[in-house]
Amino acid sequence: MTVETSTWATKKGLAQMLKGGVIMDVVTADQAKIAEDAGAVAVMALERVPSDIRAMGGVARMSDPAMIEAIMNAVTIPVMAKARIGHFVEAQILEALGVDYIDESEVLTPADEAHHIDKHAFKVPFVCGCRNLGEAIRRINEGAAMMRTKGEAGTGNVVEAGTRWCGRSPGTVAYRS
Amino acid sequence: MVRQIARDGRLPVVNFVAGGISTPADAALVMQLGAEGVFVGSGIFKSEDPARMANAIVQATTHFDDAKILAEVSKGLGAPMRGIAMEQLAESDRLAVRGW
Repeated sequence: MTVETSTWATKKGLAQMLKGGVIMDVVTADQAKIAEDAGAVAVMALERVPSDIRAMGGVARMSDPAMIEAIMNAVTIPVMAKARIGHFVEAQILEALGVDYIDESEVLTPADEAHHIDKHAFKVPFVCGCRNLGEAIRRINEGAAMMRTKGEAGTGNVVEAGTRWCGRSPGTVAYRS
Repeated sequence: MVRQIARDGRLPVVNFVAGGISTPADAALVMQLGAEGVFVGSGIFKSEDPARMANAIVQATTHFDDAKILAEVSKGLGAPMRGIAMEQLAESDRLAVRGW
């Protein structure tokens, strides 16, 4: 087994531990505590939740590392943070901070129109969004250790995540036909 | 990898659902549809009572196929986040189409 595949196996194994759980977006240490107490398996530390990013407009970037650290110090559950699509330096910064997972996220403004981050180059596991099996396979091939189907973030509307999506999600047999 | 996915009928990594989950029923819906977990973004801290909503969504994700428990945890949660209908959202404002 090469070093790369054993690392990927380790990272995807880590992500398996979150299975069956809820991961919550939090913007403060207080919110992170509430999420932990409610039984979240992990929190996503970010400056603005998607509905506020939507309202704010402009370019959405990685959150302030000080704010991410404050959340990491507040809880014992894993902390995730978002990097922009293709922004491998934001990912390097998040890895240096010691976050438990990096989300290469479409909720932030993409930093590269052609490439996603080479996630095999990192020790920290990545979660990535996908809308279909092709996207999922490309992300896993790039080293993603966990996937999330992309509903429409910040809408509070499950139609995208649920009915359009999950019924045909890569987790079901529908894709085999 | 494609062969393995075709054979197993599932991805080789854990697969969650994200985007648009704002009630315990939403979480249970995607779990019944085959999700292996959920991300809740704006749905918790944009609701009226975040601590209760957070707890209710965790319960609903665990007991997604038990409608009695779902009914119980859905009681008296206050207002969920306001929400946006898809037809009110301009194509240029859509986030899910980012990435390829």
